[in-house]
Amino acid sequence: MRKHWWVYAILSIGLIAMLFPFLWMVLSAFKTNADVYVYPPKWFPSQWNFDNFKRVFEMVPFALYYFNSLLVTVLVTYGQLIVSILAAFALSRLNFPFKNTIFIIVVSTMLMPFVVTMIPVFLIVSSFKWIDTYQGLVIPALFSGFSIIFLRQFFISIPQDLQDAAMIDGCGFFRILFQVILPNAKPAIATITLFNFLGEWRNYLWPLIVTNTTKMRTLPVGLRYLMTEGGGEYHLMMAASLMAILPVLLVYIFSEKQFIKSVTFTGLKT
Amino acid sequence: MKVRFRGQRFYLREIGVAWLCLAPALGLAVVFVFIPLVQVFFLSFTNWDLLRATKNWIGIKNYEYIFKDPKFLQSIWNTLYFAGVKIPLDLVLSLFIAVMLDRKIKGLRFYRASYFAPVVIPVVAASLIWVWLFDPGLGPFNQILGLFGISPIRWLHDPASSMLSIILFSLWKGLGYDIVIFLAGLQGIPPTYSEAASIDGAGQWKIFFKITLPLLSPVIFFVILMGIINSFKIFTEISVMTPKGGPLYSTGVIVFYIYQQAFENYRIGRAAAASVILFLMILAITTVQRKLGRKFVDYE
Amino acid sequence: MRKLMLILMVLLVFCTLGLSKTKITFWYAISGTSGEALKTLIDRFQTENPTIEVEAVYSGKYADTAQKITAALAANALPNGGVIPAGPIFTGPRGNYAILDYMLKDPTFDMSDFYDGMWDYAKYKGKICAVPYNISTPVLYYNKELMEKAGLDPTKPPSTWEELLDYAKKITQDTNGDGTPDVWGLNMADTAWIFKSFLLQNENDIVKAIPKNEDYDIVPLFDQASALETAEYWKTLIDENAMPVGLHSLAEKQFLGNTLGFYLGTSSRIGTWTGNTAFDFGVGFLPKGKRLGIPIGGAVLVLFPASKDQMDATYQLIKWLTQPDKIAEFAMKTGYIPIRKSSLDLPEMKAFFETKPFYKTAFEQSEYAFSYWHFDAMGTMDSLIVEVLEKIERGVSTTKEGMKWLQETTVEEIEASM
Repeated sequence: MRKHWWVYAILSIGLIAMLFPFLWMVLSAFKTNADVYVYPPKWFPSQWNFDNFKRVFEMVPFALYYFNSLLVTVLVTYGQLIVSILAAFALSRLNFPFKNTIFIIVVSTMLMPFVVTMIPVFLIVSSFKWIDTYQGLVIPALFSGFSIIFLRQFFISIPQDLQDAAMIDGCGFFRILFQVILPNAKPAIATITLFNFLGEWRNYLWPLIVTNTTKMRTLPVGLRYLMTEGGGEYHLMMAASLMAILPVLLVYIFSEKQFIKSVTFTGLKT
Repeated sequence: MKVRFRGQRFYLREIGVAWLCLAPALGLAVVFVFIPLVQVFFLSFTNWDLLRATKNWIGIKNYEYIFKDPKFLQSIWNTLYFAGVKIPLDLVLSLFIAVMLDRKIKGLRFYRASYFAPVVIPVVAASLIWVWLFDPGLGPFNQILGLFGISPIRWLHDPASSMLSIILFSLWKGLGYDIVIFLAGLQGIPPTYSEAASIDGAGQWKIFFKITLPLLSPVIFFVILMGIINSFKIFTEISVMTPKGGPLYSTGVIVFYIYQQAFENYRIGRAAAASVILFLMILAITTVQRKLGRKFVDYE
Repeated sequence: MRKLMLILMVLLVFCTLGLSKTKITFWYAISGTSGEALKTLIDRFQTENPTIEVEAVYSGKYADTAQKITAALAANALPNGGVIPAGPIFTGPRGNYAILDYMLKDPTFDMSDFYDGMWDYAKYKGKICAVPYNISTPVLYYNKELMEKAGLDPTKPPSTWEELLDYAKKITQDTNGDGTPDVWGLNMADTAWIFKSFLLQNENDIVKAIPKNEDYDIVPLFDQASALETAEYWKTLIDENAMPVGLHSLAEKQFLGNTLGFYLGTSSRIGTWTGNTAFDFGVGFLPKGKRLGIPIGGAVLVLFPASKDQMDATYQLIKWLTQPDKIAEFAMKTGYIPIRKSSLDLPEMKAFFETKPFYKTAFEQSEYAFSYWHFDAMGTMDSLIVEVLEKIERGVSTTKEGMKWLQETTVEEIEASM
């Protein structure tokens, strides 16, 4: 293969453009008032101090936001996984009346943006008295048409012979699920787990509406609340953003391969 | 293939197991998707204002209102504009970069990881950074432009550039995802195809357009489809970067309109009517696309 | 044995006392220094009233809080009370005037000690359904350094519309010569609020309430000649480069960045900004038109329906928070204006004015405070004002078309919300 210098040049320009916002955030998280409100803008902080981080911690319970985000994300990811595996198993490996109708119904839910149904969902959740609770954050998010369809497509590709052989050995349906389907679907399950984890970690609109008190807020909502009336003080927002981004970024850096694999997988399967 | 012991009783048990497995998913879907959808249709014919306890049936008045409301029409246009500009740009750029990365370059992982990095961070956090980058006075973008002698742009604060600024942000945020997908698609094409073509004397461009592109068409189709669906759902970055819908409502998209009607003006009826329209639009677009997809996509 | 019984009895009494603690939730929409000041006060209330447990929750900035309250109303999941923006529209329309009953029955609550303009701000359909609390007025912040650079006397801020236009024009500068000014004379973050101030100063009230069979019609007053004049003044500020087009959301940052001469905005920034700027600034009255007129803004204390115990406890908290000395303490810490006349007479307030003259300016404006009753489409009206000003600034509509549209659309929206 020929390796032109211009390929590297173009890629590197793109690279700088992609990384610049991160760089700006990191540098700015250390700036003082005087470094921020200056024209023309200053790129580097006059000195490296951690005051902004301290102030963010004083203003909001950041550690609690982390905990909530993590807890909700884990519960949603795994809860959704269980619900989806069961449904996908029925839709791919079992025969029953109305199977096709149900499949179409599940597909149709994928088209529906959440905002369309947000208000009634809110009313339903509140009639269960779930406003500002973990149930309220988690349970409405457990159904995902995408996860079900994705897993179903994968389950279908597992050879029927394996299932039949297990049946001849006298396996029940659930044993087939656990001993035949799941071991063969590991990559698909890993993928959907990571995918849903990412999606839920970023989730903003629903947590914004369903939480009221500080103790229930997740990170994205907490960040939003940190912006005060006048649009927020820039440098504090950068310190807060940095803290919100850092854990995800670290996880990403260490498991980049799995991320890429997941994206490729979900992208090409559906 | 028939298995000997598949009798009537066995089949009944299979049905039982199937419904048992489906029960949690269907139960959740009914409570949190279908009942709400029916309710939205119902609410769109009422004048419910969240402040009062009562709601009255007012027929199609909400629909009449939103179709006369220039802001609603503008929000449809803004959404289409966003999709129309962003998707082609995204497609060309991500494909271009993916093709470059596919040249077995050194440091592929580093490049790929960097392009993908914006995808993993929360939209709210990313938007907060960009609000500053876009600031006409205190932000670095205008300062950099100034170095090249370009006069300052008002980015989010000018109706001519506000939506383009949002698009720029979305490109940055989402490009990596599509690059990775294209890259996988490219790597899935057996090198024998292009080798054979180059032996036949086809140039690089010809190989790209005649072989690579057609083979990639299912991937391209997927990227466009996701692009359109996501464009209709865009909200978070708009509400963080332009809390009032931007200058002259130039960044007010449909979801933003729904949100404003419901939670700022307390007009649930109008918000529900706009939601119904949004739903119908997405339904129409996906149907058309599926049809087109069957026609044009080369599934080998 | 008897002793033991006695101890047990005492313990039991203590336990029941402990158990009978009334728990209330209280939301507040103010953050930063102001939020902390409120929290400190609530903590003190709790130590003084050990039987009441207050869960005080920051519910987000004004827009977020309003959204949360709306959702909570629909869901019947309201807090017991709170410092809530546009409070009266969350109580009045549902017939919740409980707070008024409490105040009327309570001989120790002196409603007449509040400034005149204040109670109107707590009314819905002419009836009180909230208590004013963190009320602010817009003031003029002037950057002394930039005034001096423009050849103006930094001790004499603009006091009339003419001076404001004239001084601001002089301050606007293109310092780096790229063709667009980077230092501006005048700007404000909340255009609707400032425009309403200008209207009042031009002797044009915002809305009037016309009695109509035991109800009221709210009628906007944007169709008068004085309203059109006000819009034209606004347009002149733009045309003569005194004020930038469409950069209002950046106004505070421009001021802090030393690139804005005059900032018109809430008095509650005094506390945050004093000592935190790289330049010297002063605080003055809003420049006057035909008269001084200041529309008040801010949030009010509300009481939501709950069990009698909880409502009693919430009322107790509200009453405690609005005692003159607590009001004075809150005002001194935050820059929100004292809503009670007697707060200004307190010795600590007098001493405070000696050291912090800025606050004196802001607080003295209370006399010219003006407000109108809350009505359902009030928020919509404000967004319409923002919208029309933007159209006028950008030349999308003429002032005449704009004000005509504003009047008609506001009337329609009020009717649709009836």
